[in-house]
Amino acid sequence: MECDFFSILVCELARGQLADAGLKRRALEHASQCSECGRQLSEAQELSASLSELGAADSNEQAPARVEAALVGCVREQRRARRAQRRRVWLAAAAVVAIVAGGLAVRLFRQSLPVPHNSPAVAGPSIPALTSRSGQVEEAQRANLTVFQPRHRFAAPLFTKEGSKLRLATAPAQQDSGFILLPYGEDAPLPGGAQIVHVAVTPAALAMMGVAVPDAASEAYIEADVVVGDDGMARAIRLAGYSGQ
Amino acid sequence: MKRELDPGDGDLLRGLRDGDEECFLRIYRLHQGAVFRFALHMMGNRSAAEDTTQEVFMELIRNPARYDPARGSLRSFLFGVGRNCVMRMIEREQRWSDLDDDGFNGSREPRVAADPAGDMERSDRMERVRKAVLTLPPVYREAVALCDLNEMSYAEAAEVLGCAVGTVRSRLHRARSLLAEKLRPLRECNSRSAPRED
Repeated sequence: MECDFFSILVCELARGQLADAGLKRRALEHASQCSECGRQLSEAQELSASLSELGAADSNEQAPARVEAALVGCVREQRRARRAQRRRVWLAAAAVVAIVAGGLAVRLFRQSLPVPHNSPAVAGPSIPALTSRSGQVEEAQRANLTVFQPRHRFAAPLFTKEGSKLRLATAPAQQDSGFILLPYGEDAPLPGGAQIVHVAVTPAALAMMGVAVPDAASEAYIEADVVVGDDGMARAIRLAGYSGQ
Repeated sequence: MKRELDPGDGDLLRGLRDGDEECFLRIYRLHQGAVFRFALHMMGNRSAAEDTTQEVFMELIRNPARYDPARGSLRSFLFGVGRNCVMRMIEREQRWSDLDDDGFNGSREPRVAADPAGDMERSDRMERVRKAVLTLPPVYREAVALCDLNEMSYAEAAEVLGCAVGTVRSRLHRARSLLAEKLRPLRECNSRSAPRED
């Protein structure tokens, strides 16, 4: 065996890691014949012994108990944080579910309502006095037209559509249907549609609405169909006849 | 090559992920000594070794999923984390601190000596070896710390160091040559002072 090759093996040989028995035998033979390689081997073996001794002396070295205590505290803290996080996630999920369910409930409730007559209790100054068929007379400003059940819900030909808004149709259509546009209602669009309300009004009230009435002082009631926009304003009227007084 | 997770380690890690204190303690008690000793051999400073041990296990607590069983054993993983901590500390401190031995000598409990003279001599020899190890460049020092002082196999040391087995072998060879050189005066001194047999 060459000395160079021996010097490669000497570390493994001294550490007892040279697995090849033949190689080990030849290396030991060489060390016994070559003084320099013998010295190298002896030095390496001493070093191995010293390192083993050092390793053994330190084999009982441990981290002090305070490290363990600190780490256990950290594990507990971590567990608390994870639980809190999990709780937050559940709460957030529950909140989302509640919001969605609430939204759906409101939507379903709205859908279940009858045709909207949600106009505010203001008929506007346009109809001074209206009387229902049953004879109830209400002041126009306080009257809620929606107390009357609409007889028809309609669109064309009484109305035309301009963009997204409805507008009362022009004269021929009105003539066909018998409706007369009220003077202030001509140009007012119908943003949410309209409904026909059957009312009984005094001739005086009709006169105030701008309808030419022969006997404004008469006590009789005139039955009429009024086109009322969803904003509560009367747009057109169709006289239906007199009801006796 | 896919490596199976040791069933014991697997259960303990699952427990640790769920915040089971008992599982953590079992992992800690199984591995803390080796990690602490490795850090101590690398830095020669007890308080730094303590910090390293704490940091290694903190990492495991904070992020247990970082350990990938396919890449090696849990022990190797912990040593790997410890090795990175140690290297960072060494880099940080290398500029301004010289080696001191307060960590080893200052805080050691005194031992009762059966043979005071022999014990002193042995203790003195070990301290010299320890100091010699500490003066090695870090890459050689870690090879000695893992393979000679912690009795790891080349393969396991290679896992920890993230290099080839051949690299570990050559680093260890070089480290031991350097150590032998450093300890040669001591050896010569001892051989001169040894009583002659004739």
